Amino acid sequence: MTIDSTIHGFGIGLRAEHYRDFLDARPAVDWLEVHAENYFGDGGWDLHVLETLRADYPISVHGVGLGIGSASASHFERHLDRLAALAARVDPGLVSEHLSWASLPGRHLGDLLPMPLTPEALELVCERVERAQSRLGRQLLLENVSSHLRFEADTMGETDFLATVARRTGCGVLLDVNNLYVNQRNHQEDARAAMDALSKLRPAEIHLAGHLVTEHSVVDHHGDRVAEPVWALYRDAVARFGPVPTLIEWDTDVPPLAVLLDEVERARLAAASARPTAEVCHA
Amino acid sequence: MPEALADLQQRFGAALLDPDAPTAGLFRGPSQHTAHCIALYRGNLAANWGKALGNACPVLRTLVGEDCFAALARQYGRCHAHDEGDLNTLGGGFASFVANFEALAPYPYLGDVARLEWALHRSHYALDAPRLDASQLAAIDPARIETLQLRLHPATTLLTSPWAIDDIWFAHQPAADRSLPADPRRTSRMVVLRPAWRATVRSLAAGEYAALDALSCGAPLGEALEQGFDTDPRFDPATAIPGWLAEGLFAAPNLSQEN
Repeated sequence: MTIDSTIHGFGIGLRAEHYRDFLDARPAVDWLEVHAENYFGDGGWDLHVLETLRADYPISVHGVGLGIGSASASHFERHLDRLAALAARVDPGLVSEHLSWASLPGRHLGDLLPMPLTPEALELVCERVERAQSRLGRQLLLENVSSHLRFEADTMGETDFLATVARRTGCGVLLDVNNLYVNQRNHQEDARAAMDALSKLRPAEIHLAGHLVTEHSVVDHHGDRVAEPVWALYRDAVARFGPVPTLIEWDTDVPPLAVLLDEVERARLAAASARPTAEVCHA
Repeated sequence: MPEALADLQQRFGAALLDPDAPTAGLFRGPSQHTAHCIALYRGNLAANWGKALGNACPVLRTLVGEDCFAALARQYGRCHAHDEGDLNTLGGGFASFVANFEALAPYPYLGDVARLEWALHRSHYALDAPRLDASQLAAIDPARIETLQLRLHPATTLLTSPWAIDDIWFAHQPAADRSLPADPRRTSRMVVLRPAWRATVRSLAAGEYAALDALSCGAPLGEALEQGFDTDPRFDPATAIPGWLAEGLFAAPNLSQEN
């Protein structure tokens, strides 16, 4: 018997370091998110663990390698096929990717590179999202990314871009609140104004993670607890958008699971303490 | 006319692969800041390559040390145009890259260590295909046994090397019951297998290797066993076959094809 796939409440990103904890004790989180590419193999231990846990947790499949905004993307259809096969296998509640690019002709760079935010890029991303949604047979969520650089050619803000893609394609928005904060620090972009651009689109999911302040730039390294200003932005987001499924992510120096479960509790408390603001009201 | 998306990405990508590529006018902010930020992205790329390759080749990483491994990963990532968004497949050409890496020429066995680790990595992600078991074998008409063709399970790989890479690999396992060979010059033969979920290695004597190698090349069972015996008269099919089945080395026969 497998539980319903619908995602709500508070989840954590499943990492191999915590497989044993989950297999042994089924800790109390509402859902799990996995990086799609870690389960692109034909079989083996990772898929076995995922399929076992799927019986007890709704799963969100989060891709990091589609590079949806790459002008040249010879890997795109192959990658999409793998993603669709995985989705068919685990019946996830959500499938998401990033508003980013990744490849040059014949070469995938293996990173989430920031998009030139131009009208041409907007057309391309809309086409690719439509193609992905048609191949997956479901809605795709697209996540805002953190960046160290902004292109001189940019003609719009990232969340304006994302909101337009969502309106035109029907895709959902995955709002990474930490990324908004990192970009506020790196580019003096007002994170609350960035959320204003999404005001009519309630995000389908929120990501929370830690970042690292370095001399030249703030790095979205997913290797620490969520920072206080990010909690403040999160409370603001919940006040605007209402309760949104929220994920704690941790990828660098992954700590014991107890630390992540503690962050999940903090997120629950933060969401409970957020008060709806007057200007946005969702039923 | 604004610069085309493909050109913007090409210039950014080129700067990630080559620190000397020009980026004037590409990004907002002072050029020195841009240079620092591109260096951050370049570092990310190298870290992602290092992590993916290190995950596949932990023994090689221990043998050469963190710094050397990071340099190998950086060089491989730059030279090897990988066109997949799945970093777990990045290392397909890593073993031959390591084997031909000039600075490692005094350690000619390292390429084969990488080849063994890549086979283990592939085995880890291989299809969970049904395996040939003793009851299926027993159900086959005895008159057909000799001509039976067996297929290796997708998680099974045979390897041989002029170096003692099996001993080298075992010496680096948590429950190491072998020590590093004083002299790595010894022909090794081994099978990479995944009896349950954990891929592992078993060393093979020459006869058993010859029999399995013949089977993997499509030879019928009778002929393969004969080759094993011809290679080494100590090869004993009566012990080997039940062992192979217990280890799940072969895929279950495709019944529709057999008939």
